[in-house]
Amino acid sequence: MSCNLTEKVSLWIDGELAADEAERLAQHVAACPVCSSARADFLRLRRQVKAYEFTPDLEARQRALAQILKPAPVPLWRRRLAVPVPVFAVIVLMIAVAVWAIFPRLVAKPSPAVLQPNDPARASQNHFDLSRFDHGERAEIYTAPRQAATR
Amino acid sequence: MASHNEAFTSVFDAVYANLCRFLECLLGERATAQDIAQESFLRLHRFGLYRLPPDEARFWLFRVARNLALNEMQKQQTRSRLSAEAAVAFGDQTPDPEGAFLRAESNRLVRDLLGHLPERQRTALLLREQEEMSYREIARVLGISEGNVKTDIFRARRLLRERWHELHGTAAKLCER
Repeated sequence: MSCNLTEKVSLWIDGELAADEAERLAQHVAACPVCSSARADFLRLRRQVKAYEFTPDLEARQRALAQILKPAPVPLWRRRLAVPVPVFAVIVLMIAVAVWAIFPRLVAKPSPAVLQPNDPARASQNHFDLSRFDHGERAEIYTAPRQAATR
Repeated sequence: MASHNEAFTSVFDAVYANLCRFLECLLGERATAQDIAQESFLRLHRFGLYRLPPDEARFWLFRVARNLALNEMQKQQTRSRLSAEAAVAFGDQTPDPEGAFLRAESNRLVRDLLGHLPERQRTALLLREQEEMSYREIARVLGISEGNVKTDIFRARRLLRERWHELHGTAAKLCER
């Protein structure tokens, strides 16, 4: 046995029907054993589900709240350092001294080496050394003093 | 910041227990329910309670908790409920062991009945019966139409009713033997 208004009973007990429709359905339910039984069962199940008991563990609850409200750790690159002014001044001074000491050395150009024409140690550099080219056997090299070539 | 934390704490006090109960009925397990409830509140705290319209936090929390619970269900579809039931049966050191047993039995029956429903029907029914949300509010939490909510709740009631009669019919037959 069934009645096609049972779904309306579900809406009715949830207060989702308009007043006039609810009134008509109430009259129907009073006369229809199927809908009357459905209504009784729906309400009993409601009581049963609503009576589900949950007693929160107070300790766990407090722990959860503390965990949530705990400030999030700040990443290293966003942390701020609190340095006393004298310490900060000393650090700035040390950096300034270091820059003053190092900067001129970095900027200074090396002085060009001056070739001494009469320097016996460098005399060989004015001529090609044939021993570096296949023992001098197949090389035909015209040698000239370097100063003359550069002119 | 202090007033923000105060507002958050008042929402936590108002909703935490209900959210845990909802999740326990949905998942059938207490420890996971508490973990998900905590995670939901943590997300609300990070999101910023002040960014939500007044009275929206409750729905926001239930929506997030339900999504987290769905993820959990997908991860552990074959999870056994034995451990949770054992925890309920043996974990409560109350001065009234008989009352505790009866409450645990009643809870177990509700979980068993609800466990036979599809997830969406179960959620809709829990939000209606335990949280007393209107169909419109349930539709907002679940992200579905009010028409679907009506259908889901009716089908859930019909299935629960059938299951309930099956259980009691079986019990009657067992008594007759």
